[in-house]
Amino acid sequence: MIEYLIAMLAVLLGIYAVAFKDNLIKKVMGLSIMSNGIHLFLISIGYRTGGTIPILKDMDIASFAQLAVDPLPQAFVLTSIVINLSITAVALSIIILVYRQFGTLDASKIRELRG
Amino acid sequence: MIYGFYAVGVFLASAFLTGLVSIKSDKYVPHIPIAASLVAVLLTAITLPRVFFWGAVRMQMEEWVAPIGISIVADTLSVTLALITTIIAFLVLLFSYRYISRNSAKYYSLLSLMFAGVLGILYTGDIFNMFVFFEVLSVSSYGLVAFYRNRVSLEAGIKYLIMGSVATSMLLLGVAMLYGVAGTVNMADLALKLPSIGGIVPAVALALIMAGIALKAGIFPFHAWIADAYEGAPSPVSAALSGIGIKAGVYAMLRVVFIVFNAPAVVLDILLVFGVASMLIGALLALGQDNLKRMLAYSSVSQIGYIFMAIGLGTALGTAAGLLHIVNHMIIKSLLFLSAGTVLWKAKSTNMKEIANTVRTTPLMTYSFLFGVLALAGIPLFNGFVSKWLIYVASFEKMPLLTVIALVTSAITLAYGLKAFYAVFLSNEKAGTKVVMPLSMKIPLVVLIVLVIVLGVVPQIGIWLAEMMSGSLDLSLYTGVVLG
Repeated sequence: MIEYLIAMLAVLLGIYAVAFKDNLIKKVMGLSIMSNGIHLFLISIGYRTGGTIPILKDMDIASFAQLAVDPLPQAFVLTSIVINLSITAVALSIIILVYRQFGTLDASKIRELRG
Repeated sequence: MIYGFYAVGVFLASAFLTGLVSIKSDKYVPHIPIAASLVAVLLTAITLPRVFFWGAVRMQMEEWVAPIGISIVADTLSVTLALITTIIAFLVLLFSYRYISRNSAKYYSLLSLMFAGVLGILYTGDIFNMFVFFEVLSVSSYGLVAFYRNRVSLEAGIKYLIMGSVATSMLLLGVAMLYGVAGTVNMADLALKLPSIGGIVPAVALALIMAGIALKAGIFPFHAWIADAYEGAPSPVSAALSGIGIKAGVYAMLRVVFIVFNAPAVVLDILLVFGVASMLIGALLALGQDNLKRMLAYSSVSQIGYIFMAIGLGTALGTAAGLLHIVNHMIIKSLLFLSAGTVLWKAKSTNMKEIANTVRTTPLMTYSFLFGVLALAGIPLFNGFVSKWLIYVASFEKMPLLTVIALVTSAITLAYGLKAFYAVFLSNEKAGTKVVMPLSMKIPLVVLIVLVIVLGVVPQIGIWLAEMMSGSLDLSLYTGVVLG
């Protein structure tokens, strides 16, 4: 149960950082914290206390199904980590260009589009 | 065997190859994605008759059986949208041939990735894969919005990136919750298992997924990024984002609401309310704009509102009307953004008055924008009329007040469309440089005008398409195809 609480806390913390921090780097950090919270949530779904790695070896199918943790969330998390890496890379490169153009990282000062 | 799905691979290969070829020289870079999109059109066109005349098909990745392996499903809805997506992809790439002169390798690579993402969303039968393809679509469009690297596009890019990432994270959280309670991510399997699972978790998951997809579709409370992104992006990218990108969001919303959750009445009512709100608010915001691309962007919000209103009615006619309006709006909005693009090509500003002072238009540009505006407002003999008429009839059966709101919104649409038309295209007789359009820009406009007029003059095509497409939102048919 505690892992679900920590995961949800991380998601909320991330959303707070994205919504209320003015610095763009802190917003991107918030995005990372939020998605890591979701990853923790996914891993916790498949977790089983005292379980083994989900590789079928020296074991019959029935006891394997009893013991092994769910491998699917782990595959989801791996996919999601790769996606988050690319988002963070794109975000940071746009932020570098933003800093060159505007001379600031303060999101409240980068406001020219309106209406 | 679903040949249309291989179009995803074709676009992925094109994204890779454009980068590879550009190491040597940028000269042949545009030819690769244009050829790839032609192949994609061909592959989808082979799949279409198979699906239309012999029913939907399902394919399994790597021979794993249905609920366990990844399903690829082609039914009438997905294959129709895929055909129009690939055609518009080809036209947009052709239009970009002369439009984009610098950094073309990055541009074509990202645009190919975006098309791959959209086609993936259309064909996948697996909700986690849908999330992955949404990310492919999103990451490439963040890059494309910021492509010009000036103040406007960078600000729009970072704004879109932050909002879009929060939205896709919400989508992932919803998918994770569904997997936690149902133990599957196959949409047909989820649809069968969810009714027996009580409790609050599926409802929370649905809310999270809907909020995530709604931002991608640009419905009213989540529309803030649309105007910025379309203004910052190059015009062909705005056409692709508006014609294809946000329609992927609409399609995903339909799949989740109608297939996975079997269209609960309260959710349809929510779609109806937000649809009406974004229809009216989008049109009013567009009316107040003096910036051409922002006006077209808010008009997209308004038209997406029409689609969700029609689908939220919950009647068979309403669903068919909404689905047909997706198809029509894809064509109309691509035409409008591309004809706006021909003007913006030489103009330095996106403000309507300043454009009129710097650019002198040609008849083809003028007529393409005029036809786009008339079709958008739902004037008879243009394709927008067919779907809008169906929407009026469907809403009149359920609640006449909605018909009145829809008609008023159509009048506002005509007002802002004609305002832009007069400001940009009719008030620039004397001043400015004359734009000489190359053939690669004329062909996309002509093809789209022909589509707008043919679908409007022969409404039977549209009505037949709508009937065929609404069949694929039937839950028992879908689960039968995927699991049977």
